[in-house]
Amino acid sequence: MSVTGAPAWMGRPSPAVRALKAVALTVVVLLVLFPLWTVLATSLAGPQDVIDNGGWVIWPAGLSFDAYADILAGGIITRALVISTGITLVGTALSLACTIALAYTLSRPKVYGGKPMLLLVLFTFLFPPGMVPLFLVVQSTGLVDQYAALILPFLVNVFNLVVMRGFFQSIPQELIDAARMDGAGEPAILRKVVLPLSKAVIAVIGLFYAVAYWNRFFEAIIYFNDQAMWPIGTVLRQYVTGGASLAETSGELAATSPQSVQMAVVILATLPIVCVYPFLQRYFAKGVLTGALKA
Amino acid sequence: MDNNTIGRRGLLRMAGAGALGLAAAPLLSACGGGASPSGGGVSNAGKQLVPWPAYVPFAGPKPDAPGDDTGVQNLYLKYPETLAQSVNDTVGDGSKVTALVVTFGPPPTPVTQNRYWQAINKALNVDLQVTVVPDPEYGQKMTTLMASGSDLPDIIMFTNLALPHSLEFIQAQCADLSEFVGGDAVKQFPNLANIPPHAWKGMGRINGRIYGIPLERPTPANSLFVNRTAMNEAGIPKTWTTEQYLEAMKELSSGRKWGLGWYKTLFGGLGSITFHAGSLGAPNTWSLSNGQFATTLATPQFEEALGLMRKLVEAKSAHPDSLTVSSTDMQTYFHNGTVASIQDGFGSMSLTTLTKIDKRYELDLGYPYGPSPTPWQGAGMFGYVTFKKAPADRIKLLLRISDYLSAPFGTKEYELANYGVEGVHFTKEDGGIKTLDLFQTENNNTLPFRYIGTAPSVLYLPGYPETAQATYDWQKATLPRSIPNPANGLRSATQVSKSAQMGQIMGDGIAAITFGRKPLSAWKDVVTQWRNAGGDRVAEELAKEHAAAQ
Repeated sequence: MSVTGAPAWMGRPSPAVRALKAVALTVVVLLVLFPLWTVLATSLAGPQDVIDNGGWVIWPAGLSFDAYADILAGGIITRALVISTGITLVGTALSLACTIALAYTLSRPKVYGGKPMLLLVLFTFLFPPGMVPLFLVVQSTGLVDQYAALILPFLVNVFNLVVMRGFFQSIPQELIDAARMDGAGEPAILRKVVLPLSKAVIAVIGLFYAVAYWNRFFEAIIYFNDQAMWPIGTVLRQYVTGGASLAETSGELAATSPQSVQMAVVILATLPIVCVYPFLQRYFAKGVLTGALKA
Repeated sequence: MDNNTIGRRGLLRMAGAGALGLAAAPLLSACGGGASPSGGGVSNAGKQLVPWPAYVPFAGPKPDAPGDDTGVQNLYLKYPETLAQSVNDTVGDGSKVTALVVTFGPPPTPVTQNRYWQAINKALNVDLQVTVVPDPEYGQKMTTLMASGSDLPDIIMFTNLALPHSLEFIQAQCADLSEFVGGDAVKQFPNLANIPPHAWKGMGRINGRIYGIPLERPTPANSLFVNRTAMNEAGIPKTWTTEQYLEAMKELSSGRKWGLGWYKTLFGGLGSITFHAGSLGAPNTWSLSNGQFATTLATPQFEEALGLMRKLVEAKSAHPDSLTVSSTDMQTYFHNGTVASIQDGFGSMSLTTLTKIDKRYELDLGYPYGPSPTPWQGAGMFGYVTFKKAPADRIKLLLRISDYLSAPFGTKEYELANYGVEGVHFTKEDGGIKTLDLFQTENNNTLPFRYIGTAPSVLYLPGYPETAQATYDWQKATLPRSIPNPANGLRSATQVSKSAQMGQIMGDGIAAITFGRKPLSAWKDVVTQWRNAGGDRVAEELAKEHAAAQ
């Protein structure tokens, strides 16, 4: 330990401590990377190689891209990726627009009907509808077999709304008053004052929405009668878990895809979101903190 | 109300009902409502019973060794050279037919690019639109389907999963097939008449009537698959006594190898103990005497089987992860020789398994070991197909579709339904079927036509005639002593509503005792718990049903 007048956290740690930290961090990073590496390595191994290794490959005996060729051949994965991209883009844009509009309205004091509306929104948060009632709503609004069924029922997430409302409330009232003095109406205040100050929270909430849309798999099975409309989440799940439960319940052959194919699907499905993350990362910590403190 | 348009009031009403979760209740209770164990509803007690469909076996290509009525399957060592034609009339009328089936594979390529799908549509002369439901979500999809009550597909497939209210739903919404397939009427559909009686009985009647076409499966229940090469190297005989079996498992366990592997889901019910209980002579799930049903759980043979499983774990003969790994992982351990035997569904005796083993060793089935074994039989079917209510002509058309897809091994129809188009999905080489690349994505796993109609299964393992012969020999030796579950096809409302909970009590109890968390003496408490959870009521309901069926 170095003895100085400065507090402990301001001093430069000794080389031993720094080395220890480096080792600890390296271990943590390896722990995170190892499963990802195993997934990648397994996706690149041949089927018999995988069986020899007991299901998971750490170092493939020979590189094989057969798994990727197999799944891309049918056009199912590519199609599902396109569908998911579309749903994610459209859904995120619509969700953000609606969440911003509602959050801004609810963040303003003395809005007519603001309190009951907020309670109504929070009510759905506390008592979410069951699967069957939700299905009946989707069915009677004519959304069965429409891509909109994967977007409209999930347009506003209450948690995201509350976080964003909290952020808007933290914007100094003086700024808004000043804008009003300059003759701006509510839409102009939102567009020219509030939104430019809220980039961080919008980026974070946008990412939350995008990930949620990208990962959604269950609803497609319930709302669609045509599997050609399945998004990537549904297809991925079916590749990875399909058939595993078969043998014990029915004596049926467990028709699972080879492990290498399953892992190739995992890689293809995670890649797009992994690619987007670095660009949004800098907003991330800030936006989440905002929500935590102000909500 | 038109389903595609909705007024403001309607929307609000729906939204309100949805939020409160009220909408489902009236619709579900509208489906029959007869969940009471006796009297009306779906029970067969006190009803006039429609006769089972007549059994007219198909005179197809001569098998290399014939099956018999104990459940032994026809053995084919080679693919038949000349195929029979089992359907001569036109099946469909060019109309659109929708079907909902479960799937265990990846989604199929859309019909516009799928040559297998196109070929089937052409052969059936219908526009068959198949909706596949992944098995993990199957229960939920069916629940919403039953709640919606409208827009039902023409063909609805039910697995043997116990779905609450499914029988009431079938009775209310699906066509009564009794007049089309009951007794001799089935003869107008020769391939349906070729479905063996055990499959029909396994499906059972509803309210005394026949509502479905069963998807037949061979009779053996969960069986023991063994690595015969490893057994031979260790000098282990094919037939063994209980002591020899325990000794053999110990012999095969050393270092990173184990004699036996179970997997997690086997402990969700009786799966893990099926082979052992059968070996030691325990009744299959229930025993029936003087019209009374008694559970196998309380028999000394069952407890002996539990004790034996415990010994396997104590001797470190079972893979240490047996309680936690997935079926897929344990199967991989079996395929690569890490474990020398695995308990699995009989359906795993297939080309897929053999391809994964890749001739590392010789696959075989394990013989029951006890002095007077009673190997357990399965339900004899995987599920059944029902049809939405429609005029008689339409029902006949749907039955013809199921009939076509049920065409037996050795027919042109079977070849198309199971292997696709020659030259596109498969070729014939050395007296066998050899699948081509396109078969990887276009087959009856990704597009499960086999759940609309399926042929009675035969033993045919292209490229592995020795394994097929060994399986036949095993069936010949094992099946004559095998016993069915006397509750097969009998309706019990409590069984349907409580099966998950009761299965979990049994599975947890078996796991706790096998892996040494509880002493063997604790089993009595598990049985009591199971009885209180509904076991005793199920026994009563089954007895009533059984009495009515006499």
